[in-house]
Amino acid sequence: MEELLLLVVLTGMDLLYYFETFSYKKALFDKTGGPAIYPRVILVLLLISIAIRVIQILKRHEYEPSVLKGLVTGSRGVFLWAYIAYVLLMEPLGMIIDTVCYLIFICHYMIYARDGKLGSKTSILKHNVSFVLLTLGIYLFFTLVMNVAVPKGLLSSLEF
Amino acid sequence: MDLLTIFQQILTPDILFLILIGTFMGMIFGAIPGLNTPIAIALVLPFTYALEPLPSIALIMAVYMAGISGGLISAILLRIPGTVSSIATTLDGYPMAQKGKAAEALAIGTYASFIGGIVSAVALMLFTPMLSRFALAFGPWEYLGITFLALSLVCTLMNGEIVKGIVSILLGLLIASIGTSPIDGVAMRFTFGTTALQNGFQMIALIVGAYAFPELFSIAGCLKEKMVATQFKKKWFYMPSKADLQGTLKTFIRSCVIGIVVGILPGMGPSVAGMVSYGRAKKESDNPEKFGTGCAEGVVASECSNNAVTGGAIIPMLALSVPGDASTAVILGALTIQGIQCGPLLVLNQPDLFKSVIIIVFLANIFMFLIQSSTIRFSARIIQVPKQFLLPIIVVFCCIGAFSINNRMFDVFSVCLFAILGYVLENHQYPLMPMVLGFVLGPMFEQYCRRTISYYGTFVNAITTPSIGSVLVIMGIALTVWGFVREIPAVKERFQKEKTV
Repeated sequence: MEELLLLVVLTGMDLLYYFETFSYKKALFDKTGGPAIYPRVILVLLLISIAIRVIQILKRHEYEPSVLKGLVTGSRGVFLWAYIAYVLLMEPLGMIIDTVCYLIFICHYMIYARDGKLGSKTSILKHNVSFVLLTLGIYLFFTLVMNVAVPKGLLSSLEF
Repeated sequence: MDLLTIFQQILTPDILFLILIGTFMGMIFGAIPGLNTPIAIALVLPFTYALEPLPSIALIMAVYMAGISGGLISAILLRIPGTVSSIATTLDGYPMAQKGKAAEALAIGTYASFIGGIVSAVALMLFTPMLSRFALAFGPWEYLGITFLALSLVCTLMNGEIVKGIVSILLGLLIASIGTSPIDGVAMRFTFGTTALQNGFQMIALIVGAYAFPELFSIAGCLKEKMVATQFKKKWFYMPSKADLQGTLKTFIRSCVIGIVVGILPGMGPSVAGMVSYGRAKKESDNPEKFGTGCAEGVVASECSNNAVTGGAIIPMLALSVPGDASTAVILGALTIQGIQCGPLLVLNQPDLFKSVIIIVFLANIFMFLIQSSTIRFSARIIQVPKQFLLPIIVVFCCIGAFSINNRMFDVFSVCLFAILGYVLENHQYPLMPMVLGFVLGPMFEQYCRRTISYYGTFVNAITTPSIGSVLVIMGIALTVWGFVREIPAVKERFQKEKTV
């Protein structure tokens, strides 16, 4: 059922994109059909392929178990949501704070999910210190060696 | 530039160090189940931005060679192929490990990988200039034919799932068409007013998102699964004994040939080479019943051919700018970022660079052999790195790596989008490799399409003109049709079963 839903979403996008192609202008000297022809052919072929796949599913009764449910729930779900939160908060919090928070949270969650306990206070402290050091190492590597302007977020007022 | 000067340029401490680092990284990514060579190459891509072309080629090639070979570690020790290329290795490698011959199996596999890699490097040296000279006569129609053939070959490999393969390719082609239109640049396609989309999606974002993350999500869902590694005797350098390799010469030669040919054919990959070579070795053997029970010849057949693919796959990449597999698709992107334009003119106009690539391929194979043979005892521990540390660190590297492409958050969000799309598609058995190939070949495909129309007027004129391009396009169409026809008996059988039920 979920695959059907995916194909419906793809069909919707396909149609939206198809009609969008009619708004493209064509250069006066162009004899190749313009910038709309190629995507239009791809979109039509995609629509046909989707239609064939839908017929296959309906004829064969191929209703596979939900994939999205497995992705958004359980330990996989926590991993996904933590990742999304990490991505969304990277700019406002800054790479250093965001990465340290993410690593501390997800690593300890995964330890807890696997063992049912967090471990001793010493090991937690060791992990946290190593995450801070690792984050600083990554930050220094990307900023100094590769000249990447990673987001500083809350720490933007600090000169480093 | 003479060969000695090229050697002097390459045999510098920094390049050798990068080959060393690349070999270690490739080995680690090859050995960890779920991670693979394209992911490893995609992850080192941001690091190559700060490097000159030669050091970056050295790093990428080392990752590629070692990544393909590294898969044998977990394939032999745990019966889990670290990469798809090592699927056939599990068939005899694991039984050898069960018999207490894990070190021997790893040594045989490493040696076979080395031989396969070196022979394919020789093939790369011999065939690329020939193919390049031949390709000089190619126009847009011929290139279109090759690109189309590459996409069609992918279709034929989708066992029983050709429609899903085609959907995946078309999605890749569609995603690649987002942004400013090529040739004329008059239309901002599918941007819907978003400035960030004007240059389209970044290749790294798609590869890291669609390739790396689905595996990370899958691993995150089975945290309680523990891996058991085999104990090793204390030894530093493992080499296969003469007794182990007795009677395997024919298998070596056959596997090398299969690997190189499969590598040259676009769309195929080391997994296909490994399986084909293993099947042939079993068929040709005097004792086929020994295969599957821990036979050294089986490990040789699989590992030799999957590493022979590496050189084979680089041949069309360098000579025609058409990648032979997913890894070379990523490498092609990396070389483009470095300003290196692959194609027939590369070999003819920049022979020094081409010679350098060959020397680097040789060196990468030698490093891979020396390091892998010396660290057999320790490499087994890689697969025991706790997932709770490994997964989050990979996520952080992927995100910051994606950010570093253009110093903007849009690419990090793109990774997130492709990660979810990739996971959903993969878990509904939509292959992701065609999507990546479609994305890589898409811009070229469109440019050649439009140039062909511009040159011939219509496609009908082009196809009716006797040329190599027409042959290639007809072959592509025939392969796609054959892919569909091949599915018919399976579909009929399925229907009959359902009716009976």
